[in-house]
Amino acid sequence: MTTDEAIALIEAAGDPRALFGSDSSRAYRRLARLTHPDNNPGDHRASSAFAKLAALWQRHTCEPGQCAARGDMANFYLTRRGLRKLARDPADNDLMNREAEALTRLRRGGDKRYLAYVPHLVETERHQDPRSGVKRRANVIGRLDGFYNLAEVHAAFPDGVDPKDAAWMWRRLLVAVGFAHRAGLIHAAVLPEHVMIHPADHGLVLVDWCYTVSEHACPIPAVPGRYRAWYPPEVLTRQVAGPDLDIYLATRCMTYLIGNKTPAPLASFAAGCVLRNPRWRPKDAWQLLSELDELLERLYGPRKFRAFAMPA
Amino acid sequence: MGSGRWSTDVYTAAARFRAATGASAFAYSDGGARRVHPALDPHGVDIRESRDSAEHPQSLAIAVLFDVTGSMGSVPRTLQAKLPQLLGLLLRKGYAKDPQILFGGIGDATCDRAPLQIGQFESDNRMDDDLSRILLEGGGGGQKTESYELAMYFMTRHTSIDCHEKRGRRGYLFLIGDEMAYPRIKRAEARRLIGDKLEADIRLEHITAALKQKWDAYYILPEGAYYQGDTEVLDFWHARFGQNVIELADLDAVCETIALIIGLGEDAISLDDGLADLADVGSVAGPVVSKALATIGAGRGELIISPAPADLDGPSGNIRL
Repeated sequence: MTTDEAIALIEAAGDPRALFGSDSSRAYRRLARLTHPDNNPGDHRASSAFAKLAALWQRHTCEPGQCAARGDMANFYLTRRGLRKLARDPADNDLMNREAEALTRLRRGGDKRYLAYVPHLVETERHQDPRSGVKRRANVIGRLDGFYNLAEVHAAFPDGVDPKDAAWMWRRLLVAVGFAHRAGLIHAAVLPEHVMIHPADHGLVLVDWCYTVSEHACPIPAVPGRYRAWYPPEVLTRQVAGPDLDIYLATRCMTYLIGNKTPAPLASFAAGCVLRNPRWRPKDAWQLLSELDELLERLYGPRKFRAFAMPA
Repeated sequence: MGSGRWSTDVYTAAARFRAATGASAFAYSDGGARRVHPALDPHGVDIRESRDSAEHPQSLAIAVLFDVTGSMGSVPRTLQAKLPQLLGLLLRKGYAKDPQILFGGIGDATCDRAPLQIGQFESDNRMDDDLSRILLEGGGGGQKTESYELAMYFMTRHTSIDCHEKRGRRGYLFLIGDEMAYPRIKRAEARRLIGDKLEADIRLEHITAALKQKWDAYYILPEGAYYQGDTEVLDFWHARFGQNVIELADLDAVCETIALIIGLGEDAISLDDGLADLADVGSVAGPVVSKALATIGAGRGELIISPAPADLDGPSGNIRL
C-alpha cells in the first residue's frame, strides 16, 4: 500500500470496523505509519488523514467506561468485556504486568478444579495518552457480579461475623491460597479488599494479583500503604515472602472479620498462624485446611450448609 | 549529557578521520591501555542521566552493555564496530524519536582490570567515543561467571532516566554476553569499583527485580561466543529475564535485532512489519532476527491510543519496598 492509497482509504472510511478489519491493530499501525506527519512533512492531506485515523481508532478501541471503583493503586472501569483496571501512577505498570503473568500462569499451570477461586483475565491492554505520551498497562478482569469484599462484609457486620458463617470463608480462603502455592506463586496481598465472597453461593475469589511473587526468591515489590501494619515485620524489612505470608494475612483477614465473636479455640488456632518468627508459622495451606476442618468439627459438629446473606 | 542530534555523516567523518590518522575504532585498547578510561570509570559516579531537552523532548534511554572478556572471542570487537550503527538505524526506521544511548563493558570483578565500564547517555557521535574507549579485556574467568550483577546494580541504582521518571516508560537495557552473573553484589566490590558503601551483600534477585522496574532488560547471547548453546547459561538468564533472552545466530544482525526490539516495545512497528522492512532494504538479517525475536512479539497486548480518563488521577496507594 502506498501513502496515497492509505490516505484515500481513510478519507473514504466511515465505519472503523470496516477500515480496520479483523487484524485491527496491525491495520491501524500500518495506516498510521504511512500517513504519519513525520513521514510526510508538509503534506496537509496526509496529516488530516492521520488525525481522522486517530479518531476512528479511538472510537474502535476505546470505550472509556464508567469508573466503578478506586483501588489502592488502580481505578476500575466498567466495560462490556469486564472491568478494565488502570494504574493511576504509570510507575505501577510493572505491578499490572505481574498480575497478568500470575493470572496467566494460574490458568495454564494451576489445578483446573480451583480456577473459580481466581478472577478471569479477559485481556491485557496497553493504553497511551496521546497528549502526555504516558503509557499504562491495563488488565481487563472478568466482572464478579453479586460479590462483596471482606471490608464490605466487615462494615455490614461491625460486631463481627458469626464464626459459623465465617467458617466457609476461612476454608475457601485457604483453598485459594493453597491453589496459588501449588502453582508456585505467593499472592502477598491477602487483604480484606482482595477477598471477594458471594454470600448465597458461598463463593470466594482472591483478586488483585499485582503484588504476586514467585515462590523461589524475589522480594515483594510493594505493599498497599493502608495495610502496612498488617504485614509481619520481616516482610517490610527484608522484603521476603513465602507461603507463610499468605497464610498469615489470610488469618488476619478472618480474625478481623469475626472480631470479638472469635471463640477461644479458634483464636488460638489463629494465633498459631501469625507467630512472630516466620519459621514457626504454617507454610502448607492444604495441611492447615485439614487442621481447621478438625477444629471446626470439634467446635460445631459435622459441616452443613448455612445460608449467609448480606443485610439489605 | 545526552544533548546533540546524531548525524550519520558525523560518524562517517570521524571514521574517515581515523582512517586518515591510522587510528582504529578500538583506539583505546589498541593503544595498549591497561586501565578503564577515566570517562568510563564508574567509581564515584553518582548518576548517569538521560534527560529530556528542547532538542529531545521525548528522550528514550537505551543502554547496551557487553561482555569484554576473552570468553567472547572476537565478539566484542565486532560489537564495537557494529554498534555505532544503532542510533542511525533507530532514527531512520522511526522506531524511536529521541534515543539516548549508553554503551558499557562488563568484565569479571574477581580477576579483571576493567570489570565495569560505563559511558554516558548520548544522542550524538560522542557515544561513539565511549564505544571506542571501551577496554577489551581478553581476560575473564573460565568459571562461566562474569560480573553482570555489578552492571545491573549500577544501572538500577546509578541511573536517572526521564522516560521512566516523567512518562512511566522503562528504558531498554541490553546485556550481551555468554556467561552467568555472580549470585550476589559483593560489598567489597561495590566499594572498590563504584565507591558505594553497602551495609551487606545484595542478592542478585533483589537487583534484577528492581532493575526491571526501571529497565526493560534483555540478554543477548551471540553465537560464536564461547558458551553459546550451553543450556546452563541460557537457563540462568531465562529464569531471570523470561522471554527476554535472545540467542543471536549472526552477530552482524545485532543492531537490527536491538532496533527491532525497541521498535516493538515502542509500538512503532509489529514484528511482521519489521521483518518486512528488513527485507525491503535488502538486509539478509531478516531470518536471524526473526528467529531471535520469535517469542518477543507474542502476548504483548494491544496498544490503545486514547486520552487517559479524567478521574485517573491521584497517587498510588502503594509503598514500594
